[in-house]
Amino acid sequence: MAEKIKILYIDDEQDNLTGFKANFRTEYRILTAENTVHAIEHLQKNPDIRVVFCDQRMPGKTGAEFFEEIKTLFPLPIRILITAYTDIEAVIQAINKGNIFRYIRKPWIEQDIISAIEEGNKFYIASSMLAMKNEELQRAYTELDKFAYSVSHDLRGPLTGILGAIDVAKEMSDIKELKDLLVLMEKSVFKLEDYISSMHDYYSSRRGELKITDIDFNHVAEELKDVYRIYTTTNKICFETTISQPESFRSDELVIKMILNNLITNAIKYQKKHFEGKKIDLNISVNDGLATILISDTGIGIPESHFDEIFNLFSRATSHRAGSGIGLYNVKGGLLKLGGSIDVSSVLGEGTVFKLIIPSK
Amino acid sequence: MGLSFILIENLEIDLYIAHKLIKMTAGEDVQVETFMSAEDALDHITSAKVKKADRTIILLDLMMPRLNGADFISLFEVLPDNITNHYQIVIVTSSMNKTELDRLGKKKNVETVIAKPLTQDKVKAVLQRIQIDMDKREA
Repeated sequence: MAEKIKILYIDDEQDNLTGFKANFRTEYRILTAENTVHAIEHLQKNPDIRVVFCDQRMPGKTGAEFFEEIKTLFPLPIRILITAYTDIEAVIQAINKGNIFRYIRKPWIEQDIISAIEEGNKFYIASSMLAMKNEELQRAYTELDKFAYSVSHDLRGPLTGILGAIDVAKEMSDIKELKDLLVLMEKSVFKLEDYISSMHDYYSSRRGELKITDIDFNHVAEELKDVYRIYTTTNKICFETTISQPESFRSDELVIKMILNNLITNAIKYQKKHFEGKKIDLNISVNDGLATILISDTGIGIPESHFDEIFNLFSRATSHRAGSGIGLYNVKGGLLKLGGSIDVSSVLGEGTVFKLIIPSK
Repeated sequence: MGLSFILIENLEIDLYIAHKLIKMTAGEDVQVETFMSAEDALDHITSAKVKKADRTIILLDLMMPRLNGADFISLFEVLPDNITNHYQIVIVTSSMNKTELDRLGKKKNVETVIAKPLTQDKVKAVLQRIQIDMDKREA
């Protein structure tokens, strides 16, 4: 059975609290408080309380007043007033102000309480879902905004660069100069291509369902070595892989490859320019259903002050190299889908180590 | 010394083009300093060792990682007059954010805003503008 629904009951009479608890504790998780101060402590400590019952007549503050107060502080839990018939005026007011979901007449009968909890819980789930969807939408809008902004730079930038180059090329006659310009134009085209393929990663890693299969990390590492051989040889980077996989591992291979591809491309891209011992190490070990992946490089490093933001969309830690600011964001998104985590440690000018932990599914 | 240029641009190709176009338009021997980051350019400008030309035109890109063009302008503006007087900023951008461009274009030290890609005609127009302005001041 799913976890018990958490209920908070507030009444200044200890007997009522005890009775309430005794009646419902098998079905629900009951918290009780004999005054509103104690009740607020419960609410602070237990953000997952779903339904709050409160007696109307209490010394100091009435139940309706208490609900009015917590409505803004703790908007999520469903508020239900317990009251005697004589307080009906207060109940009507409280309902009309939207401060309570429903009321239960005192002395209560078990059936009323159970139906109030079940109805309240349904309402709670519906409104939390709505809040969650709203948050998701808000996030999507923010990303869309950022995307629209970045399109003008990351897509339009290289394009206007190429246009400008063509314009200048028309005036040039020196073949050597023209060739230099072609190299720059080629770089711009690569940048565009890179951007578009990371956008593709971005959407497929967010929208698609996971496809879980057995993963052979030895095989994955061999493939990576093949793919990057041309880059590592031309840039004189020593790319080594160490794999220890004594047990089977299940996950989404495409997502894992997308993550590794991004991190290895970065490790290649952010090497120190004139450095003899350029190195990238990929170390994967699988133990007790957890894959620990270490990717270390001898690159330019990341300033510690940027550790928090490098995984944000369109965040750029350095101005010196080409980059779209999407790669690590995709890495983080992919890991989130796989239930994994990532840690970074880096020494400026020495290199960076990314540590990933991914559970087998 | 007469006219010189500072180019601030993080995209290699745009930097190359701007450099080339200035040489093509203002002559091969005109002094041009290039910077791929606005921080480095600011260091250069504030460095006392740098001998100031009578007039230096700064071609400034806006969208750059770290210190962007707009932030560069804010930091530049507050420098002492005896430094800023030597410079005029020309914004070169592919940004289509009209509000932001209007705001920056109105700044005291900003001469004009031009849209990428930079072309010979655009460089010529800027040089003409600045020449007229310099003649006026001398007259």
